[in-house]
Amino acid sequence: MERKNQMRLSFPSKSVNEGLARVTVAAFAAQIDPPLSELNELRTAVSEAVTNAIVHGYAETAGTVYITARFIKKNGVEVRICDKGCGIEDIQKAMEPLYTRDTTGERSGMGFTVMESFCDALKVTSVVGKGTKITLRKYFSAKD
Amino acid sequence: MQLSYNRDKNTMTVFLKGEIDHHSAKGVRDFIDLLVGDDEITELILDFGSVSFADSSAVGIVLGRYKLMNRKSGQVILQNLPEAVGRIFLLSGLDRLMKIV
Repeated sequence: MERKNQMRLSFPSKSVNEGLARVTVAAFAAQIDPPLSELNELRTAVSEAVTNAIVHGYAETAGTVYITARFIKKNGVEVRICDKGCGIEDIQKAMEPLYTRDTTGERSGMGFTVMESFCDALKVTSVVGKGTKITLRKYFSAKD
Repeated sequence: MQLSYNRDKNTMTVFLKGEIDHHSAKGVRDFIDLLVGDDEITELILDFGSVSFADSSAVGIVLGRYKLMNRKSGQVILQNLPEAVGRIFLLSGLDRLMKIV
């Protein structure tokens, strides 16, 4: 049975909203009854993308993070996380494992690697000075 | 994120409970750094048994504490990793730097 539904969420780029984003997208994806471990993978990927928007996209400023999600064939969900922040100059470099622009030594640079590992598809588009859009796609296994 | 600890001679065990993300990371870092600030602590054990969620911010926390303990010629041990947390840590190669039990 194909389910059609979608959601839209936006919030200020405050770190306290990272949990809100995770819970909302997970609650939405739960409508198609995915295995819990796979739902957790999606939750983690969303957390990485939202954190990137807050920490890097809006590093020097404050702004709004926009999330949309919809169900896709087959038994999948597509989540888009957008910001209107500083954008990424070199996307390929940014996606290298352990690469980070952070200088405090406290960020691992693993965000994109986690997104890639935990989702079936990852697309990043960005324009310097305009913002970044991350599209995640995850197809869930059918439960027994 | 709730934190508790237990000290046994030169070993400090920190028990993390709840969600570890970018938002809770600073509190976790500051708490641990305060505890191991004492030069006598040479072994830091991080217990993840009650962690309900972690993203790569947890990797950053662990790496930062590893560097700190390394400077003191100490070591970090990670224990009771839930499956999801273990995956992220292995993905990041933390098992090559420190013991995971």
